[in-house]
Amino acid sequence: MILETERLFLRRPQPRDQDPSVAFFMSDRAVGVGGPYDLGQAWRHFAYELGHWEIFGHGMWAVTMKDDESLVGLIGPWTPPDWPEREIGWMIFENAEGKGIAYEAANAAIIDARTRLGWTTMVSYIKPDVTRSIALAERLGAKHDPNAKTPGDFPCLVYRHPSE
Amino acid sequence: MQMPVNIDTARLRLRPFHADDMPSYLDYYTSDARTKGVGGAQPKDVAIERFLAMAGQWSIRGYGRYAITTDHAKPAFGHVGVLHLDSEPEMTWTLWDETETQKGFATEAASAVLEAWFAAGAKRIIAPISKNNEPSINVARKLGMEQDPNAVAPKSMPDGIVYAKELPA
Repeated sequence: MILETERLFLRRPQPRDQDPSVAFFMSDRAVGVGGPYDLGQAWRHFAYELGHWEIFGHGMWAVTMKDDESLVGLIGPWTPPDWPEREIGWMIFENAEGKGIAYEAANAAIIDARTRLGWTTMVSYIKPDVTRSIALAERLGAKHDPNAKTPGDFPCLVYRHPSE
Repeated sequence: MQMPVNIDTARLRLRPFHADDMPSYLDYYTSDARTKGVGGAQPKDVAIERFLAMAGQWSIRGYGRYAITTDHAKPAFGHVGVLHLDSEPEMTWTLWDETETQKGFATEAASAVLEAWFAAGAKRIIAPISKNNEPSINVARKLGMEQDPNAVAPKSMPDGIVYAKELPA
């Protein structure tokens, strides 16, 4: 199963995605997902990404550039069973910065979740100070939903994606 | 290195994890009752992460932990197998359900996994065990593991002692 956009392929993550993913989880860029993590935690987080696919049959897509196959992020469905709603999450690696790649990938992931997975509504949980994520959510057409429940007990904003 | 994804023993079916196994695992890992030896109860989100990471490690390493059940039609009541994050591979065994203890299931399951581990080409495995976790120390001994005075227990287990088993040279 592969999604294709103008510049990107979105596919199920594989063992070869480990090094750039672990590097992301250990970097300051992981602050939006509870990081940065130490090596052991980062490793476990990557295993968590693969296990999510293994158990639920869906998960965040490994997003690669069509031209050189480099991994530029992990973006897409995220549904741990204790979360109030289905999420579209994004982890955008440094090499994807400033090119509209995250928008292109998240948009494809949302369309696929709606059409193939049959999700009628979905949200993105964003820490209030991660302004670039808020900007991406807004560009995707998502609206802040102040009444939606948040996962866990950390502060976050819920952005609800349009239903079509 | 690739281990078989299913192992049968006399009484047990060791198999990949399913979503159906998650509720029992989460009950186990979020309660104090059976987690004293492994660092104590964890919040639900951490327990979910651990469960999914157990499933995910298989794709990365070609080996990992198995769900333990007696019958393929039933959810698991424990896990057994090799945890391998960034450091040395560790043998783990845990019965989530108190009512399944005292039957020799942990030893039976772990023994079958160890055999498959060495058959697949591994040379060594360790098992850090809390020094007060007598039932687990007994399992380690029955598996032929010996205390390795040179090995250091992980920082998550400050009272841990490390048992190890090596393939004879």
